[in-house]
Amino acid sequence: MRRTIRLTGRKQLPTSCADVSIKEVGEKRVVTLALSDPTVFRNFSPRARLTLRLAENKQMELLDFGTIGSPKPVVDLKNTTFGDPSCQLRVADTGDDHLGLLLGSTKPWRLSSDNEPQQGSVRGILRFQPKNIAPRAWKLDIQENAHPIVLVDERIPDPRAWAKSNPVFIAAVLPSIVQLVFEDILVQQNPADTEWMNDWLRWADSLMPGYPPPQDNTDWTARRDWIDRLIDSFCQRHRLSDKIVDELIRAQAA
Amino acid sequence: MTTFNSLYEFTNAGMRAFQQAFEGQLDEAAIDVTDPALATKIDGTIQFQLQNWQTSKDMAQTIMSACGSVPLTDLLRRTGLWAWLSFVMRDSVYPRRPDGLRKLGEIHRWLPADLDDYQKGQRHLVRMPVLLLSSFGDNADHLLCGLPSVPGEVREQLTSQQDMFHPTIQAATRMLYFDDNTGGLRRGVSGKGGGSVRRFAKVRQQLDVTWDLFAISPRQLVEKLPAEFEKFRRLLPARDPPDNRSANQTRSSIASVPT
Repeated sequence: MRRTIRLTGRKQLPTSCADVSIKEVGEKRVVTLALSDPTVFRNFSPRARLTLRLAENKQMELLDFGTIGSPKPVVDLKNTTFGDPSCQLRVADTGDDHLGLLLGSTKPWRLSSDNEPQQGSVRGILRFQPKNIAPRAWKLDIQENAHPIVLVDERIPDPRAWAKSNPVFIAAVLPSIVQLVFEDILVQQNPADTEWMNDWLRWADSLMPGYPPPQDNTDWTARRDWIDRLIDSFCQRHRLSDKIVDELIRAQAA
Repeated sequence: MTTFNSLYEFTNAGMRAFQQAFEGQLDEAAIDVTDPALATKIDGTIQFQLQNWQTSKDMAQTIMSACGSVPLTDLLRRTGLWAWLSFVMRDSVYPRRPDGLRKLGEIHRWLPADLDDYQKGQRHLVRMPVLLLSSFGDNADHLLCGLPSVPGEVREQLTSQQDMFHPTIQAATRMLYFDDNTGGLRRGVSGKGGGSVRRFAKVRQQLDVTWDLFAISPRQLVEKLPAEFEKFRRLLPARDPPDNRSANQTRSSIASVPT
């Protein structure tokens, strides 16, 4: 069993502790914050500051939601173009001795796509989101601070469910997505330092225990071989070729 | 000095010709950069004069001035504009090497990628300086003090992470690494040594686990850096330059790149 020991004293807050949304009010946009689980915050000083960090494509906006003792429910958003920003709630000390000391923070999550209902209650390492991306049927959206999203043509009926259940999509597209994601991860100098990349590396480790990715991020051949082996393991684990053959035979018989 | 009465953006045909020219398949002289078939005027932009810019900052200032009444936010995603600028400014930004070929490097240094691409979108040698200057003003001096053709390790390291795109971070690194007396970088900022920009990028990630770095002032951030940064820290003036950030960050702030 993995245990994370935080020597800094920072508390890891669950993303479910707060409901955050962007709303249009007339011509301006506001962000609302509701602390949905106050028990998570009860050990913080009432003077500790609540900040929401929104980031997307080299844009960042910090929203000051007041203090734990007196949180603001609504704050104006200056940025006019955030689409699906990553979002992180932070609680920091305001005392003179430890000004800025981070007392607690959530993992970053994507404000729009992660708030959509995902399969089950667990947020996976890959999200799906309907979007107008024609002429493409699907497109992988990788950002720096949040889990990758598979954008699916919104004209497809129930696109999220289709992408997650259609055997052809799963067998033909998901391995490519795995490849694209890891091509992005393995060129980084320290991918494990990025939370979503670390999640993917742990997922790969669960598929190929004891076979870590190459250390040298400039060794293209080693990267390619490792990703290829990972995709083989992924397809084998989920019997992807069997499933697509079964589906085709069933379709022919019908 | 060539002067244009406005900024232009390449049409689809212009983009193809531009790419062919930079890939050596078309003579550069064959491209008329004001031919309506290849480039269209951007209404609201004003006179733009090519110069022999000595720094990326000077280049970015010239471009920003030429934006006229058009908000930069409307222009950043128009790849045809950045491609057109790359072409007309090619002798400054992509000069010829002794063998006669242009110093182009990786494709997205000259062919602008989608701005939303977090890895490739920031590589463009014309758009990125404009984006940095518009985001951080003089606090981008250390990122933009080199020749337009040489982005340099400092810019690469200090813009590689999303969380670097914040005024506190850039103001702190300017304090550390930029020498106002020479208008250039201090010695020892590059490489892997103690206190280098590469180390700053790493140490910032470590500090970020413990501190809300956006809630403190640049000076306070510099003070939290470990001893390896002392060689730069001791060069700082005793008092902060004017800094309009409050220590407790009592209001929202946009750090960056309007799009």
